[in-house]
Amino acid sequence: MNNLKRLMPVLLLLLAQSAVAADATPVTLGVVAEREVVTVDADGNQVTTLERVTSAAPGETIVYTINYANDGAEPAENVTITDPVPPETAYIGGSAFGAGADLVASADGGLTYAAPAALRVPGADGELRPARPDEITHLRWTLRNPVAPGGRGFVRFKATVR
Amino acid sequence: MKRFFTLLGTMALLAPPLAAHAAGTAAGTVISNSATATFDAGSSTGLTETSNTDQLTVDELIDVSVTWQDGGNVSVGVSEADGVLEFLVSNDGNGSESYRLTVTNQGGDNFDTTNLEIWIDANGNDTFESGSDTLVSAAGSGTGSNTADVVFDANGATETRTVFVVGDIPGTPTNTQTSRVQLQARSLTAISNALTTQGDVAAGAGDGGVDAVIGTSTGLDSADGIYVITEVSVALTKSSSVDDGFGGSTVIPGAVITYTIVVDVTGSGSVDNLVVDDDIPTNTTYVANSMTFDTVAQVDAGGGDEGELSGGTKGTVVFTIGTVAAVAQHTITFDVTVD
Repeated sequence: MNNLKRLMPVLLLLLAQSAVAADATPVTLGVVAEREVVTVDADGNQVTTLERVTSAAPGETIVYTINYANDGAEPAENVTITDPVPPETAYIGGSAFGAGADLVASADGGLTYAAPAALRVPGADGELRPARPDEITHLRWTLRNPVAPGGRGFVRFKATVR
Repeated sequence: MKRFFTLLGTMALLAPPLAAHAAGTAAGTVISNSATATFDAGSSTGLTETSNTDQLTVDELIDVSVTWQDGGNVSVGVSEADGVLEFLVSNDGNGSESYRLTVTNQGGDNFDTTNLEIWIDANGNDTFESGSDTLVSAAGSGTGSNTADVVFDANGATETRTVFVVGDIPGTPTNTQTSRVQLQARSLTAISNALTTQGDVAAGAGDGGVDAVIGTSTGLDSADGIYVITEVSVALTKSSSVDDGFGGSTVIPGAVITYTIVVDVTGSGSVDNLVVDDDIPTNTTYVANSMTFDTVAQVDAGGGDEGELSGGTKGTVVFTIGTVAAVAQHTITFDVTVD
């Protein structure tokens, strides 16, 4: 008993810390890589489904999906989700998707962000020119509305293995 | 097992085309992706959350290309040994791969080349040198095909190699006849796993145990090279006419003899450094400035034209014609007087 009494403050402290940790991260985030698989159904229609991948060859297109969820008790507000495009892949222009989200992108390693069509990079002549999709280094989605407790969603983009 | 590259078409329009040659990310590379979220919750602002890190391993893409490098039919002579065709074999995948090179006589031509061999351009100078290049196929015999397995590393110095096909020309063909010879390269991984279609996958068969995936070439490519018999010959036909100054053609002292030499280059190909010379006949004397070449008057002292008088008026007329492509004819004339 004496031992347990002596341990109690320690246990309480541990519980308090884990509670603080849970409160600090009510939003959870998960990245998955998939490929599109096209099959033909009984009616002869092409059906595209996604299949998890753990490997891919150069030239293959990867669909990256970032799932988010609010596991906390309060709404998550002003949510932004940022994903660096893996350097071994090339972002496919126009493929970024996010319901209720505004997209910006970076072509300078995440230093500055702008709408993809407004991105500029130095050309061979030193003059700024529009950035190509494969020059995009980061994607950032800003959710227009708070994520309610228990709410979830995803953003997505496609990239080709270089 | 098939993989579908359904988005490749779209991608080609939107993104710069992927290089057709070697490449890409090396097989076995791990592609990592991790996202970050920022948000506010209640009174807490500026919170961040980092996702898991997704990891993808890059498969080995199997692709190869073979191209004939000579730029045109390779001229050889009848019974010529060691006629050389030059090819370029390129590992267009992203890993180290062995290719089975096969050289084979093809149909649709006039004759078969014999003793076909496969050589690797060891010093990379694109010139066949039996002393320093490497014979990789066993010496062939007859008109049969021949093979060799050669390693190409898509991420190293041996991504592309110049490959020489060397064969002997038989004694039977005639001028302008051709022999077609094919060099094929096929991935050993594709052979051993019976992969024949783009998108076929051999699990674990790639570099370091990654999956091997067959690319657009299906792991197989070939190109034909052509030998052509090029036999060129030069014929000289000499004739003369006499003008005795009295309306006749009697050879008397003082009569002028006009010699005509017709040079015919026949066959195919060309001759180089063609020189025609003719000694002034004994008991005659060259008539100054009488040389013509294709009816154009020539300067005796030489200079920029073909004709030249060497050794004086009792010497020799020399016509330096140079390179002449068959079929061609040139006409030389000069005059002498009978002493």
